[in-house]
Amino acid sequence: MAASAELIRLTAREAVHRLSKGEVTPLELIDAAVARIEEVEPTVHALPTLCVERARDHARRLMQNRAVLQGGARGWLAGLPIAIKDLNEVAGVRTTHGSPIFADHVPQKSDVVVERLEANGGVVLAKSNTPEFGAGGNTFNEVFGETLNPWNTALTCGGSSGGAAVSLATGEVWLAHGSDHGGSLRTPASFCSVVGLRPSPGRVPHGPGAYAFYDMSVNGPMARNVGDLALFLDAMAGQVLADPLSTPAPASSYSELVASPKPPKRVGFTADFGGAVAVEPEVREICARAAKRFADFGAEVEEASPDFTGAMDAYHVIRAFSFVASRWPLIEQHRDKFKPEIVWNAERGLKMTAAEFGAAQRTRSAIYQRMVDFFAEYDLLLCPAASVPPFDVKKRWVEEIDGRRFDNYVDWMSAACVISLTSCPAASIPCGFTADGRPVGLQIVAPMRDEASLLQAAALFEEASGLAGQLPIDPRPGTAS
Amino acid sequence: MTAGADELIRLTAREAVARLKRRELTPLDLVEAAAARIEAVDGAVNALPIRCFDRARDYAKRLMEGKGREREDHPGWLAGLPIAVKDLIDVEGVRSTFGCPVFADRIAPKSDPLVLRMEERGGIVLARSNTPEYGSLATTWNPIFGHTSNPWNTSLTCGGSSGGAAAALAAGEVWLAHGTDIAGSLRIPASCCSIVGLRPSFGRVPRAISGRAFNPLAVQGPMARDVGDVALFLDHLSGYFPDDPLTLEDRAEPFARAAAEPSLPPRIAFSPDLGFAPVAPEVREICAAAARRLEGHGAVVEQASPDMAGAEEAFMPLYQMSLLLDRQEVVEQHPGRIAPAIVEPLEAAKRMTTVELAAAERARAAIVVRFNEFFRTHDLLIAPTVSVPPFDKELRAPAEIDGQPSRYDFHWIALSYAVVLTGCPALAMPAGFTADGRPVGLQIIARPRDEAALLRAGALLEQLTGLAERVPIEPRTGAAA
Repeated sequence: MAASAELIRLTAREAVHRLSKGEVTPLELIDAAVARIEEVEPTVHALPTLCVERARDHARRLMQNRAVLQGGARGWLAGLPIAIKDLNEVAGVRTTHGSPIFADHVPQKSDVVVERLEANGGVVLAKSNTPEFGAGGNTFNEVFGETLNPWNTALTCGGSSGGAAVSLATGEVWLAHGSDHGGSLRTPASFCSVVGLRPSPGRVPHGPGAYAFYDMSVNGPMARNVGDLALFLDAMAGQVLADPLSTPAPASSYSELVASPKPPKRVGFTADFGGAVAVEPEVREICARAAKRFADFGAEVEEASPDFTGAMDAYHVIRAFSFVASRWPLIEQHRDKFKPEIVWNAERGLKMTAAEFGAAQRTRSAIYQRMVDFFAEYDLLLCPAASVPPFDVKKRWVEEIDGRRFDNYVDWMSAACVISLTSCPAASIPCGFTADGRPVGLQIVAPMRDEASLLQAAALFEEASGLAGQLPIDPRPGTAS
Repeated sequence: MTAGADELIRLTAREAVARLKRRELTPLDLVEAAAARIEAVDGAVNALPIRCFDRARDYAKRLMEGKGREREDHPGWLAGLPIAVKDLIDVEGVRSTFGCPVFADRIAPKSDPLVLRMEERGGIVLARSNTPEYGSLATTWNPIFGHTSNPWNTSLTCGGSSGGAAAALAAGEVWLAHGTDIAGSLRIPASCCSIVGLRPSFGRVPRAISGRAFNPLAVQGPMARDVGDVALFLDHLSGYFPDDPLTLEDRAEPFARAAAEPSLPPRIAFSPDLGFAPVAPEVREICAAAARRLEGHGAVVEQASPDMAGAEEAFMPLYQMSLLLDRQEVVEQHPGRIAPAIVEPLEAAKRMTTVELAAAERARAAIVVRFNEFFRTHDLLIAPTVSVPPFDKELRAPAEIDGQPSRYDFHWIALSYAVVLTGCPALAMPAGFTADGRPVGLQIIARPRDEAALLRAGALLEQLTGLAERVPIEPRTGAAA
């Protein structure tokens, strides 16, 4: 058996390969992950809930049948330990949603994405920390406290899939599941220098939720590199009965497509979304330099942006309605147990009329049309994944960027939110560091359902960027200023 | 010309396309045959009030000159078959009214993307089929063109809103007709006219961008005289189209193959009323008898239904909201000139609170959960398409259903709109005739995205009933009572 320090450094693909060959067992990987978790968790608080015995039981069941373990089907994880965000229920495992209301909640049944991952040989080892009900881009909650950024533990890891990003960056797990409404797969990926992909609606099944036909809230994969991300998407993608938006897995596997990537011909880059989004100057510069790298593999790079005028207003209205649809009955019942940002968001939704919601839907449709027109000219849109590098973990949210002030906890994440509004697939890929060493991610956006082109371009960029292979890291102390 | 017009109009679409492909017929032969038939019978039914014969002849000649044949290898290639397009989507250079008097003389400046697709894939637009104003009734009447009559008895309604399409098919005016469905408009007229209509899954057939691009309620789809033809037309219409954000990826197998393999899955449920709708006894009996025919053909047919409680409370607010999204602009621009069937629900949507709309979304999600649970133990669900046989065409809705007063215009189509909530595809097809000769239809409902299962089962049922043989017919006069 390889030393556990070596095992935690493997790519997920290599780990799955060795599992399939019988060169390492799921139990050994669980032990390696647990050893690493014991080492770093006291510093970062990424995986507050472990289910080691449940994982070992699952591992033993898988190991009983050699043929099964060898697998070979698309997306087969062969017993690889994974982390599930604490917004998704795992049968028999404490699932808090980051809320004191569910602090002691142990569900009987798993969420459909969890069922799917387990059916594909993923072994759930831990629940990753999230802000209360996933609301907000800084991962802290009343139940488990803050998750810290391993690049500088004075900083936020982003959110809401913050625990997932940190668990990957520190090598606690090889793959971590997340979800995204307004950037929750992309902001923490940007802040922790990992990769996170927000898929098209229905690509990854989830639920069943109270608002079953809501396409803006999606589940998706996070990983340390693009190849692993593709494998994890293969393990998640597909149709389930419980999610009416879910679609059958595509004809070709993402892992295969990424292994021999086809470069984009022409990409558009915008540092500030045509002026619609405030972005810190250093982030703009780092992303602009990164976008130029696309020329290294033959793509024509041009400055261009769809018109996002009105996008953030529409996003706010649709988001507020989703809080009414998904959460209002619970908020009415336990108002004092919700954080003020959620109450604010739901009340904003209550004050709206259905007609305002309708107007926002029309704006959304118009912006989608502009995206379609943009993609008629460009294969991909490149832009910052987040407007700022990671900030002081003690700040609940960013109040000002580049001279623009915000009066709510969402606006600083506009770089991600305006893309969510289009529902086009989007990923954050590490693209550099600020002068003081804080990670920055490049957002790559593709046409609807074209995760394949997105992942292929991301793989080429990852290679060109020279940033691959720096993970996992040991948590580093630092200051927030 | 190799065959008489009367013979040509009786061909299946499949056979007509096969002969076109073998060059035994020309597109012009079929254009002329259909034009002659329309001239002969449309006076009695008023199904295709807008005709573009010369435009169709031009397209036919282009194809015959070898132009516009780039998609010849597509499985849905129609090789020059004339088709009817519902008057709700634009055909370039042709009068396109939406059944709305404001637009009575409007000539469409460009074609809807779906029309472009049809024309790329060898379909020739021959005529526009009649529809109630903006498709907002379950019968077919508008102030521009008046009633479309039922060819089985011209005193009766043909159903709606794709009523012109259904009547045109039954009367042999075209081989295939396009329709739309937000509350049952592909299925209701199929039931009333004893033809076949398929409501596909969201995203299967693309929709042009509109105010409600992301709102999964309305779809477009195929209508035909038999199941094999509806499958061919579905191949013709379906496929990835990113302008529609709900778009699905292309399927590996053509739908026509499914229809060519008549077979049943093992567990079939039949419900005469989906447990919630009033249904006329004769309709129940005719549909039950048709469903029973499937027994002994590889399936068990059991009487069972998912719990559809809350369907009306969920559907009506969502329907009202979709009218607000789509029609607010036209209603405000043309006060007093848009039909109450549009204005009244739209005004109701304006008065709606977000709490009410959210409750409808939650009610819908609850139905989806129960419906999908049902599909764990059953493979298909069969129910009547509508609650009563076709009634007096002068009425917007029957006065009573099963001895009870009808409470609202859509009461008699509750079985159709309930299915819309689930996102499941549904195939409406003939089940039989009442003692006084009025058509009765049933719908087969499958798991989301599984149109193929519908086509296989529908093809078998059609063999057993033999009802597809009865169309086309000569329009018949009769009494409404």
